[in-house]
Amino acid sequence: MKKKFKNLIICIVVSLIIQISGLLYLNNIFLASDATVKSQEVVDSINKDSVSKVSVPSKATNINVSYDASYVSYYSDDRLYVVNTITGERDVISSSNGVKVSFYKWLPDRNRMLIVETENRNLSLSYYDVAKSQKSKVTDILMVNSTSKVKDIEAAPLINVIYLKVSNGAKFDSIYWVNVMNSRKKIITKTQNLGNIEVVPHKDKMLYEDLDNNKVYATGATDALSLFGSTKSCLLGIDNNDQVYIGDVDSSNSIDRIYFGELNSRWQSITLNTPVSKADIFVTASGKIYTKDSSKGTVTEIQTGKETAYKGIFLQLYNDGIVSLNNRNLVKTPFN
Amino acid sequence: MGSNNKSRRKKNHKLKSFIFYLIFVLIFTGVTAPLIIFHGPFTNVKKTIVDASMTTLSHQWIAKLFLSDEEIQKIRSEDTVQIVQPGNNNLIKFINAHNNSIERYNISNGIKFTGYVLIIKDPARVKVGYSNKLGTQGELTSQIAQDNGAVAAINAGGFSDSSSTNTQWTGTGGKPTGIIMSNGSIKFNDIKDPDKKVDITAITKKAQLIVGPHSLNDLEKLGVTDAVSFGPALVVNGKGTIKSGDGGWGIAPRTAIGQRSDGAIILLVIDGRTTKSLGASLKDVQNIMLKYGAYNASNLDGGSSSTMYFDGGIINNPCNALGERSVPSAFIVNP
Repeated sequence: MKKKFKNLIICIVVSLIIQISGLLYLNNIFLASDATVKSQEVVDSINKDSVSKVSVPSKATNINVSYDASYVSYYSDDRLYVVNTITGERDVISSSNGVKVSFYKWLPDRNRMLIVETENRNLSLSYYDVAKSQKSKVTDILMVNSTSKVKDIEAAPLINVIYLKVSNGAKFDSIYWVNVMNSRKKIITKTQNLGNIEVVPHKDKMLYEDLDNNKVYATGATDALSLFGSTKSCLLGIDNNDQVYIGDVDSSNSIDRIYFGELNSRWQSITLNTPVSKADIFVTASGKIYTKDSSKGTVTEIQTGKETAYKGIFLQLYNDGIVSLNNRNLVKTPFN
Repeated sequence: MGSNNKSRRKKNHKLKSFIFYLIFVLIFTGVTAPLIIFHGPFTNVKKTIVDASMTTLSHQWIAKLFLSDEEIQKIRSEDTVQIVQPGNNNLIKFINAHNNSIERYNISNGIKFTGYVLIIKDPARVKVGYSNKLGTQGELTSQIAQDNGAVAAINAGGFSDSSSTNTQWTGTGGKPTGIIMSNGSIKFNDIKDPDKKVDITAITKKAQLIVGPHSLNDLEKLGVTDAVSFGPALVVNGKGTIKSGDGGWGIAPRTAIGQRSDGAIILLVIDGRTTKSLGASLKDVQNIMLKYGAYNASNLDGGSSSTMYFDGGIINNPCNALGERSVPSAFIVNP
């Protein structure tokens, strides 16, 4: 009994010593405003030369370029690589202790990506700043079950909001919202069988496809976006001016008509001469609609009819043009 | 075997009592720590926690749980940022040599923060740039710089931080507060009374930096061509305005601008809210400005807005997951 009492006293003393020394440090050193500030002059570094060719290894998967095609990224040997397409410099994104990157997505307007790593029971979201090669954690999302996987990320940099689509199995999707203070909440959707998601850039609002009924909904509203004469619709994109682009899906699952307009305003529409598969329609941030014809190797702007030919295998669009792979070499073709 | 069992039991017993004492230490610490922090002699720690919790809306309970309203009031009022009326006649006088150089420094105080300083030798190059979509959205500091062909920029004035759907912290930077004046014309103004004095950071046609409370009429009299609303003034006529305390804004990322007595403009950004750099108090910013020889200096919009652009890229580390934030206005450095 006496020993126990003695031990308790020791515990109290230890606790007090730790607390007081910690607080003394914080109070007198860390929070003191008169701490000295060191300064070091930074002198210009030499610019690196640009290279003419950037090649992507044949085993690379999930190849994507950033918004202005300054960088290309891909998985190879279970690692995520980022290559500067101007200097040819290659960076590998490091994860701690064999944790694997399970999803990544470039931001729509800057050379920065969001990365998801699956770790224990968590989906851990980080950002990666390419220019500074800096990775930093944003938040964790607890996995609903062992199959939980991030399937899509939509970020609105203007309002600093991130929406994540997590699939927890067939027809069991959840949406999470993260704001600038890194606080997180689950978003209620009309269904858990979700298709494409998009964010309205100026408003904290997400649009999503309900794959049960083939309708498009906005968060906060219970009614589907009502399009005159359309029975099945899909979400194609939202541009920088909050214009929403919705495709009318015909009986052969192609898109024959595109509706566009701001939410809660009148819809306008364009009819496509020949119906196009959803995968071959692209809406850019500046509000242009392009269709791709893989057999001809061309991309056509719908509103003006301007055609741009690309070489090799189509990869994706970037701000000013098309990125394709020709004999594993990255080719940028500006729009005509 | 018997002795083996015994020693295992002994081990078990030891482990159990160790866990017991560990839990006791944790509980004891949990109970005593708030008492020591809020009622002990560690005034800096107490102040920082109270300031940080009271400047947010959702965490005020932390301070209110342990301290009475009067005690909180008393702690908060210990910070005095002295309001100095510089008067309109004793403006800084210097001969502008139009030296076209910019010096760049990385600064660090070791553990609390890292920051970036640019010294612009020719103050006539420093102007206010603004978002070309004022009203609907802000622009990135780097975009404002590039649109104006500027070589360097820092974010400047504040804005209301909610989007059209009224969720908090989702501002697009499109709704400024106060005034934005660029190249002699007013781009935005919500100050109704031309004699009302509010914190202003401005530049006159003779490239003098104006800081502290000024009315719209004052700005006209002083020949101001470029201005944003923000403060407080941290250095006025060579003297720091924070006489006691740390300024009362807690520690966070910071942006500030100052002018030396030879006219050179000092641009400062301090990173925050990361493990590498927590941020700085207003007092820290004042100290840095004084160290770099500032004769006048003012705080600008900090937190997640703090951004410094130089030589084609962002050189600080904005604290948001999505990076640089859209802001309504910036101080830009023309080539």
